[in-house]
Amino acid sequence: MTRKVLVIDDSPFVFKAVSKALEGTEWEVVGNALDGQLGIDKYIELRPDVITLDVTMPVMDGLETAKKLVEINPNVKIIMLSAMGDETLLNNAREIGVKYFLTKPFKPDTIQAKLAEVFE
Amino acid sequence: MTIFNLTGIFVKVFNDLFSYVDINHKFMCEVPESSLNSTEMVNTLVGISGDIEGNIMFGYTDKTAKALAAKIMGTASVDKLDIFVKSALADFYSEFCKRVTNEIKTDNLYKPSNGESKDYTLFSSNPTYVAGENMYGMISKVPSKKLFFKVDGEKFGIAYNLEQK
Amino acid sequence: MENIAEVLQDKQELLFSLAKKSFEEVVAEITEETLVANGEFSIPTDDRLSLSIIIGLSGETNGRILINTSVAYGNNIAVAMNFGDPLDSQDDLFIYLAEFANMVCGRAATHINNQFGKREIWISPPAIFSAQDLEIITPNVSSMKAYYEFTHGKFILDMGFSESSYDDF
Repeated sequence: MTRKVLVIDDSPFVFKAVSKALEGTEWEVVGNALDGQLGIDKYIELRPDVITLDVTMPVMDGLETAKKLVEINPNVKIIMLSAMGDETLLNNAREIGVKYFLTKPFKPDTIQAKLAEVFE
Repeated sequence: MTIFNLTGIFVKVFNDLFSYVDINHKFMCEVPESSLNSTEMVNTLVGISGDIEGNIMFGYTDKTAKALAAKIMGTASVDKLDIFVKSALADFYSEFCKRVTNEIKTDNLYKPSNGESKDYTLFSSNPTYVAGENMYGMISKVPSKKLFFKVDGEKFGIAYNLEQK
Repeated sequence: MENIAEVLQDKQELLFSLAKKSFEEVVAEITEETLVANGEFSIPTDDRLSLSIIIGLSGETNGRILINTSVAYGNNIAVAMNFGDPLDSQDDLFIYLAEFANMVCGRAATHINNQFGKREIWISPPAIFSAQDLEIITPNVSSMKAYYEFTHGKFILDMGFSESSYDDF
C-alpha cells in the first residue's frame, strides 16, 4: 500500500532530496509547498499520511503551520525538519503536538527509518 | 510572518543620503522579483537579523562606485577601487541600512494583534563588497523587491527581502 | 585584570572553532568524509568560475562567514547532496548550495548559542555569488581562515569579525 508524503519547505532542494530518498519505497511524495500557508492548503487538498515540515519558512513558519495543521486534524503526523538542533525550538514544537524530528542533512535510510517510526 | 513593503523608506533614505553626498540621483521604479538575483558588476550585501530577517543588496557599476567614493572621501576623483575606497563605501552602505532599520523602528510598522507597540531588535551585518565578471548572485527564494534608481546617470539597484520573524 | 583585547580574541577563536566544527560536521554527513583543516592554498580563478557563499553575523558579535570554492567543487557537494546523481540543471546548483549554507550556519548557530547559554548570534540568510575574477571583501573585519582539501575539492572557510561595532538599534 502506497503512503502519501507532503513536503512543506521553502527549499526546492528538500523536495528533491525527500523524493529521491523515497524512490522505490512504499512512500510517495505527492506534493510540495514552499510556505506554510500553501502547505495548509495542500494538506486539505491532498490529505497525505505524513508531512515533512521545515521550521523556517516565509509567510508562515513551521511552528505556526504545525499549530494550524493540528487544529485541522489533531492526529496529523508531522516530521519537523531543521538545520538546527535548537532545544527551545524542539520543545515549542512538542508543545504544539509535533512528535518527530529530523536534522538536515539526512540520508535516505534516515528518513525512511523516521517514517517507519511514525507508523509503528 | 509579515513581509514588509519598504519602498517608501528606501526611497526616502536614498534621497537623504545621496543628497547629503551631493551626487545626482533619482528613483525610477519598483519591480517585484521572485528571488533576489543581481547581475551588476559591483554589489554590496548587508544582512539584517533579529526580529526582522533578510538581506539588502546594492547593485551598481564600477563608474558609480568610483563617483560615490570620490564624494564620500572628498576627493576630485577615484581611479582605483582599493581597500580604502571599499572601506568608505562599506561605511556608506552601513549607514544606509542603519537608517532603513531606524525608520522601521520609528514607523513601528508592525503591531502585534494585541495592539501594543513593538520594540524591535534589529541588527545589520558588516557590508560585504562583491565584484566580478559575468556575476550571478542568489540571495534567497523568498519574495523580494527590486528598486531601480539612477545615480550620476548610471543604473543603481537596491534589492531587498525583509520578513518579520 | 584580563586584557580586553585578549578576551575578545579568545571569544573570536571560540566562535571560529565552533564554525569550523559545524562545517566539518555537515560536510562529513553529506560526503561521509572526515575533514581536517590543511595548510593554506588558493583556489584557482583563471579558468574556473569562483563561487562564494556569504553569511552575515550580528548580535553580540558582528561579522560574516564566507565559504569560498569554485563552481566545480561546489557542484561536487551538490551532487553529494543529491545522493550521487547529477543535478537536473545549473540553477539547481545554487539551490543546493543555499541549503548547504543553511545547514552549516544553522548548525553553527546551535553550537554557538548552546556554548554561550543564550542567543549570542543572529544569522542572516545566505547569499551565493559566482563570477569570473570574483572579488569578495568585507572591509573593517579581521578574519580567520581554515583550508580544507578533500576528494570533493578545495574549500576555504573564512570567518571575519568586525573591528568596529555596527550598533544594534
